[in-house]
Amino acid sequence: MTFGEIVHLVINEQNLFIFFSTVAILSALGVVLNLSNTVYAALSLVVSMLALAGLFVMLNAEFVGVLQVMIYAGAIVVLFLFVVMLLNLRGGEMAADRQPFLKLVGAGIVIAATVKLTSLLGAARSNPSGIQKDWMPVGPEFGSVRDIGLVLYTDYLLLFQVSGILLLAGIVAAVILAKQKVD
Amino acid sequence: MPDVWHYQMVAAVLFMIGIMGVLVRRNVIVMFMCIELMLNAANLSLIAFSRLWGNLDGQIFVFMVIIVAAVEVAVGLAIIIALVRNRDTVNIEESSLLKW
Amino acid sequence: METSVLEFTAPELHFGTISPLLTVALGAVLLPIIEAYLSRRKSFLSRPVTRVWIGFMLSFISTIFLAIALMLTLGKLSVPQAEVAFNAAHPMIAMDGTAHFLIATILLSAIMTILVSGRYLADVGANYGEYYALVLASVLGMMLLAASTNMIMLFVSLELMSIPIYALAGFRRLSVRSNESAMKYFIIGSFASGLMLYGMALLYGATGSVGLAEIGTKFDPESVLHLLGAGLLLIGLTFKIAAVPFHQWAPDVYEGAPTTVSGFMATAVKVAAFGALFRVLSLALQPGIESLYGALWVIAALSMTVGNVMAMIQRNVKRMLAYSSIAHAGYLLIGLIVPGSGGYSAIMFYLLVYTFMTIGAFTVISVLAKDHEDKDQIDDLAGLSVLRPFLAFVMAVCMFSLAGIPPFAGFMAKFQLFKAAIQASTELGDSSLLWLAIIGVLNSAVSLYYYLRIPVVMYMRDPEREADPDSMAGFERLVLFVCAAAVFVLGIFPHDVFVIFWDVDVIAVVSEAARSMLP
Repeated sequence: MTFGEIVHLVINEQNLFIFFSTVAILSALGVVLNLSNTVYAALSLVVSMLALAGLFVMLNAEFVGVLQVMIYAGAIVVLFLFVVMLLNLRGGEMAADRQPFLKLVGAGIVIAATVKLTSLLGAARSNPSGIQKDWMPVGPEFGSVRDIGLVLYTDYLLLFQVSGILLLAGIVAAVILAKQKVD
Repeated sequence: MPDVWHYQMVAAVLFMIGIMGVLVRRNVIVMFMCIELMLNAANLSLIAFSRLWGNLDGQIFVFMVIIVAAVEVAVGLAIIIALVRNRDTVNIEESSLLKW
Repeated sequence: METSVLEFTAPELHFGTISPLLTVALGAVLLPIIEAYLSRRKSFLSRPVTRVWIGFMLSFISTIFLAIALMLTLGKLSVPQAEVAFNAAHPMIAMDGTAHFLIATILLSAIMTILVSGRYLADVGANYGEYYALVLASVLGMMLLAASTNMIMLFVSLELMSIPIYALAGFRRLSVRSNESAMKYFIIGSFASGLMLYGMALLYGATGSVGLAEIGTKFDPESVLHLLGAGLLLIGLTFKIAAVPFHQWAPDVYEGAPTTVSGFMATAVKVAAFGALFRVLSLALQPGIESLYGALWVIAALSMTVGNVMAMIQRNVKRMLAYSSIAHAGYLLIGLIVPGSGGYSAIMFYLLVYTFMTIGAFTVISVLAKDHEDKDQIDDLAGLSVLRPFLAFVMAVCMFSLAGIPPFAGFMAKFQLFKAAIQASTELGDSSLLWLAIIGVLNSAVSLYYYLRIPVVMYMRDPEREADPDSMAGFERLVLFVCAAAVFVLGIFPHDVFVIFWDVDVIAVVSEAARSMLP
């Protein structure tokens, strides 16, 4: 076997899918189960989002994948880290836990719901009535900056403008709430 | 070859992990991170369905969700900072002036 | 690959159709700039610039923007059929009669809120000019939400509505109650929008489109995927209207938020969210309405009962009004599950009336605030008829109307709603709607207890403190007068309300508007 064949054997779509989704799920669990340190939870969140960006690229969403890395991993989680370090709050969550039993019940219900949801999706897979059955064939341009831009600036122009006002309102709101002193 | 339902299963599991975090954890910042996980799971679901149907509406949707998430994080963390300035805790059970 | 010249057809824009939206958007963008400009100056037109003066100027300017938008909307009310706002092939919003009516109600609520905010904010030490920009941004989100016919637009406008309101709830930055209220609203609100987003993703996956009308053509009530998506979408919207079992946040948030913001939340957010519920149920989920009927029935009955029972044991007027708003969400949901346009028109009339009476009640509480503190316990109202007779009178009118006592407008609104339910139930031979109307009537009777307690305390008990100097501003008097007058006029002459000003029959307008939306 040549080196190239070995590479193809290891890095194929299936293995990449398994790799990215395992990393995404495990690091998401890391966010929830990490009780001691909020910084680790934030770092775990970054890993999960990067893995998701990998899945996005596999699904022909290159532009959105890049956005995911830039905005989620690059801006949102960094903001989380800033706030965690700025406030410098230390753990102690276990001590304040007043209703551990209620939480166990809640976790149990959520796990049961997860099993139910995945089985529903499995049922939809085996009997996809009315739903597109297999991947639609798409051109290589699908999900590129050019295609997204074409749709965004024509069909979704109004939406794009509204999102600008949303960002402005968010800036105004964040400044007024977080400013140290307002004169 | 993974099909769309494999991606959907991953999205569903991530979404449920997010819900579990919001319900179980009591640190507001971590609860907030778990809400971001829920949004991300929905994004994965949208992207997979977008590829399935071969139309770009889903990707535009995700684009908008990312913008909304950025705004939400900015405002939410500002609210947390304002709260901690006055109270010095991020544990939601210690915030009890208003009854739950 | 060879690079080709980008070819695309520019979208057609109909600025006339969305002129109210554009006016409010312009205001939301300009107000922060005006605020920054004014606050950097020592004097303006040879008057010294103080914070109170800036607040007054900004409330005046934002009222002008909102009033222009209201005029433009009222001008369109007479043409109820949907106008093309944008690309006809990809409609994002439908500016039809329903949308115009709801937008007019939202704008009325926002104008009244802004007029009474200036003095209250100065009183509680939160007189920042950003308030008005945030209210306008939120109003823009509400207007879009009431008109949106596309899931992406629905989601983005819901967030544009909610995010400024999270900040407004925490606007008294130095008050821990206000901080906690914002925090609670924020966490629960964004959790709900996460659920709603996943529901939208499932609906998109099941149908392959994001337009509500296209989803409606493909919606299959047999498929689990469709029902799951529809359910999660509806959960997200019922969070916003605070219907049981998604109501726990409302009392805490209303109590902790600045009083004027609570009034705005109770009215405008509800109006916009009901607009979205109209669209979602009548366009996208119409084929599956049978399967969702039971769930909506239970939510309506529970909201009425839980809201009214819990309101009875409250000692704080804002908390009581919060539970009362949950109960009113229940009444309104009756109209939502009545088939045909009768229920929708009853809801629209109810929302208009509800806006006047709730803003009136919250304004009275906000006027009573003194020395950086809300006076919002029921005991604080003791002897108000002696101390501030006008306030006591308006509060009593609003309470009678909320309780649904004739001849006030609240009675007429409930009458329309229950009439629609009973008519539909006799036409269809379906007794479940009749039972819902009966539960509603019983609940109205229960609600008399806690609504009437307020006038009793105000008029029968002796004042426990000295009379305050009457610090009411002229705007507050105006708003209180308008609320009380509207409650009287809408209750006594619903068919020719503005007979003095214009000759408009509100009932006819809402029924026309409701018909315009149904396909």
